[in-house]
Amino acid sequence: MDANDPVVKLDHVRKQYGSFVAVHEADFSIGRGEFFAMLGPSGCGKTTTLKMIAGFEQPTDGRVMLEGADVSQVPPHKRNVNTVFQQYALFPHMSVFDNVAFGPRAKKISETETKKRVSEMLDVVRLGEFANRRPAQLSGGQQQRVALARALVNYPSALLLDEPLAALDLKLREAMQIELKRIQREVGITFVFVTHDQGEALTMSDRIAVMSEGRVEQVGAPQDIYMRPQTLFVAGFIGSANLLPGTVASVDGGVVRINLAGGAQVAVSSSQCADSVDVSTGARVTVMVRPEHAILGSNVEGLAVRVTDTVFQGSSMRIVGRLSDNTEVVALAPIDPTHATPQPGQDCTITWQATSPYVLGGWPETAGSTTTNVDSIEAAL
Amino acid sequence: MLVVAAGAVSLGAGWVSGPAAIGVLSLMLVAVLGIVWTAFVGGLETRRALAPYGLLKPGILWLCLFFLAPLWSMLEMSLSAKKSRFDFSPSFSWHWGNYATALTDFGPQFGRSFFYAAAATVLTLLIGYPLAYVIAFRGGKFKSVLLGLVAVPFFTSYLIRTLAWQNLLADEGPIVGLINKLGVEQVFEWLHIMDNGRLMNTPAAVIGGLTYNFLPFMILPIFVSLEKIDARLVDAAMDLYSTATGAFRKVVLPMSLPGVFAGSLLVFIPAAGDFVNAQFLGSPQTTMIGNSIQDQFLRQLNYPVATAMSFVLMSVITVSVLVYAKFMGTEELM
Amino acid sequence: MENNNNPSSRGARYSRREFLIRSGLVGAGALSLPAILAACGGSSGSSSGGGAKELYFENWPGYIDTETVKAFETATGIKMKYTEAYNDNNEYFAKVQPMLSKGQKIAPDIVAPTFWMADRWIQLGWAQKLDKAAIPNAKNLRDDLLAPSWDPKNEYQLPWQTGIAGIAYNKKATGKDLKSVEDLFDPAFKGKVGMLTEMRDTLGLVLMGMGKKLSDIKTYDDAVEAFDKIEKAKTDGQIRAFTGNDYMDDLNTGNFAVCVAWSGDVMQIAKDNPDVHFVVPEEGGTSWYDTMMWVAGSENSDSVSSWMNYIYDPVNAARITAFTGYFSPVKGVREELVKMGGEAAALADNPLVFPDADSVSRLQGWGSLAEAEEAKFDERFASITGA
Repeated sequence: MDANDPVVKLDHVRKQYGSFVAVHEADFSIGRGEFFAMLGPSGCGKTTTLKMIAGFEQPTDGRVMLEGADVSQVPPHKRNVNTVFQQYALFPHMSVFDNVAFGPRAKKISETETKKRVSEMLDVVRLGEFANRRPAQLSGGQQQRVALARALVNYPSALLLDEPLAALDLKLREAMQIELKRIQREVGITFVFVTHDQGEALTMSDRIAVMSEGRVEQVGAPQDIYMRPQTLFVAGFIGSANLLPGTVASVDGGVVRINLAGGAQVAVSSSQCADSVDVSTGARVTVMVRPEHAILGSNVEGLAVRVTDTVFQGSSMRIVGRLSDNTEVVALAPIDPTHATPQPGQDCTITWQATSPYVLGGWPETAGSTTTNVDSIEAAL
Repeated sequence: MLVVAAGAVSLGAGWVSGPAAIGVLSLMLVAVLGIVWTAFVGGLETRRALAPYGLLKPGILWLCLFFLAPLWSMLEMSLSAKKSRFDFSPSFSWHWGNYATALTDFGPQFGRSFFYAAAATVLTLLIGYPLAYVIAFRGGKFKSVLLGLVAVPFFTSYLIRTLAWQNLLADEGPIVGLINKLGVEQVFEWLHIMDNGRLMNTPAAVIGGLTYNFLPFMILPIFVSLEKIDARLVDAAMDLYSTATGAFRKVVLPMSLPGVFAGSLLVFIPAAGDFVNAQFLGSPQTTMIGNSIQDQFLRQLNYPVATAMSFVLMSVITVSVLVYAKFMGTEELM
Repeated sequence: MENNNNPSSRGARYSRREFLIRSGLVGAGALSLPAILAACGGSSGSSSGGGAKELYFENWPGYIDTETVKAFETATGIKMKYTEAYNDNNEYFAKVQPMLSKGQKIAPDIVAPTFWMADRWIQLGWAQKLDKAAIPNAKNLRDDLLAPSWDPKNEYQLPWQTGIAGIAYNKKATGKDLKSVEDLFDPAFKGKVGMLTEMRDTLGLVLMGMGKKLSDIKTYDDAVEAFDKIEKAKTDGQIRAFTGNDYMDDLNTGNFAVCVAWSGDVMQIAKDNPDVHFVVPEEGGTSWYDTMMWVAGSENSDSVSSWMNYIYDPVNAARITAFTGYFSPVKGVREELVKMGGEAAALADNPLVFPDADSVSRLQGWGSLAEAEEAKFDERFASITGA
């Protein structure tokens, strides 16, 4: 086996329950030592995909490969992957030590070796002195770490984590994010985790698979996903964005000119276009500009906008305005005491750097700023 | 509280009578009224402090009057001697001979009772556990219906249920008929289930009746403890390299032991003292201690020996329950 | 074993199930204390008072027709209460002893203990002397029922109904007709033999089978061989069960090939099942009767006498027999039944209700047993029946 082989490979995997398709097609690989996130709103198929890797579900079509071997029909206890369950699923009738020792004992590893491994792992998760407690006597964060130790003690090819932080409160969650990263670095095992929290995914992962309605929309590094979203769903779901629909007016020497719905025309370098977008004249496209890339000023070249609202956010000022066709746009301006903050009712223009806009195929359902952010997704779920 | 409890015991046990009883009653009344009055005038703090005792009172009174008091007079009776056959008020005389009689004359009945009860407990466990398991984990939306079906036999009288078994097990009944038709009666004879071609009036019939009648007492507690188990724990065990059997053995079974423990007690204790099944399904060679106690009480009018037997039964059950609890390590499980 | 063993509780008018439920409930209750029993029993109120004459008769279940009580009230103006709580000799004895042994009254004026229990009541002083002069119809009673050794002048009790214990068999199971007590011990019927928990009937038959005369049986030693014989049969598995009234089903379905049985019960079964037969064995059968006894402490002497006199009138006695089907203690009932016609007239020719002279000649009754001897009998019998 080649060390560069992917640890987990999903080969055109499809999962169907009756007439309901939970996963349309998942086709991606996860490399050795990678911290990989599957991100999407609830019902997008991410947990089902995880269960297929763990072995609790079998794919309807396609293959699940572990370390190069097809394990599609192999039961969970014969797969060298371990899961950290949502709510942890610790065994309440066993001590922390026995919980962690469960896997090694099931694998018939000698008791001395088991003992050694368990205490090592409890040290890694910093729970050494809690070995004799029952799970019920631990806090949520400690239980979480027991669940990690219980899975990692088996040195799995990959560790699967199902919404591992969802049960924790905000502060603890942030601490655990760092803790998870640390542990992952320490043990060097591939982590595959499922989350609906894009902030969590962006800060922790090496790569992210964004899923929606059973489809994998995009797989890539966090920056790629953020800066170069390949679909309107990804653009809207990850962070905030101003989505400005338009049609291609002309393509000329690496510059795409687009007539926006409001009448203005913008020019975007063709290197700032999504991979498969159709940029022939007349094609429907959407220009995405992140609020933090929108520069507010009085430059005549820019898009005319009338400020409707300003919100002080500490490190920045959030400025909401409307284009001439009433499309709402948002810009984040740094707090700069030497410049006067635009006031509601004031007319300005929006411009951006050449590397800022990104062109996607098709039109969004609603034009303008997406309000999607961490909090609103969580509120919606 | 103490006054009321002591009063209830003394009245029930017949220590006092006539005017003295009225005195004790008034004392109890004064005690109760005193507490109520204190609570009334004492303000919120006092009321709060007294509330637990107020809530305990009905239970304590009930137990004193209908458990402790009879227990006391039984103890007294069990150490009394009859002067003649129709001496209806045997006098207390430290007559330990009653216990000797209870143990020597009724040894086989005691032995049988515990053997039958133990056999019924094991059988209810073997039958009840898988049933409870299926209902708890595979019942789905039919869970409550299935549980209801388990409880349905309770809607008819215990006696009717036992009598129905007489018909089922009769020599010309359907079960013997089926066994004969299949030609497997030798197997049943060999297993000592059948005796001389019949099922009725055999030890197997008595154990079967006990098993049937007490089965729900095993199923319900096991179901409750199984239902509390998160199905993900089984997933977790399988994820940690356990087979389905291993997951059951290491996770489900230990977590359901409190239910098994409760169910075993609920079956064993009443089964050991049962007399209905032995009477209607058994033979002269299957009488249990419950039958003997009943006979000593009602037919022989031998209250001292009958109460001594009751006490022996009670102590043996208590001891075996304690040993069982120790063995099962209930504190660990709860 | 449960002791629902009195012959006369074999009511035809209530189902076996009801009977068993009742006995079961009593059985469950019986495990409590005498003190509690006393507390429950004493509250039924008193039977007598000034003013209108009253009468309270506590009898076995299903033991009287529906008209006689009303007819008696109309004829005499006495207000009568009739209950069916006398379900078992021993149980009833246990129930009332806390009061009667302390000289307190119980609610009924008349109760119906079986003859041997009546003997015990008399010995314990729980019965009052009857006013025989006020019961002229007592002259109608069958001679064989009068003057038992334990109450030679019938001062304390008069009979209510009578019956016979013999052997019954299911011909489908035996394949032949039986006529001897020895058939109970035939190895061919191993495991299919039933005996009654009523000691005097079971033991009596076995004693007669051994050629003994029941009136000679005075001590335990006189009966020990019969006890041994029964015990051996039990140990060998010959005997399937000792039963109370619940033997009827077993006999009917053939669980019992042969058993000790009461004539009236068999009459009920034989109506529907021609395979079931009753015989007074050639060695002899036992005769038994239930009495009427005036309970100590009752003050309604006049009402008691009126009642007894009323039901010893053959016309009234025949009405009761037509309903219950028992061998009436009153002479002339047969003629009255014929007069009544229909089903009642058919009973007049039924050998189980009116046994032929030959069978009657083989009947024997028990004498009185001294208290200490009876205790030995009961103890041995209890240890055999397994309770």
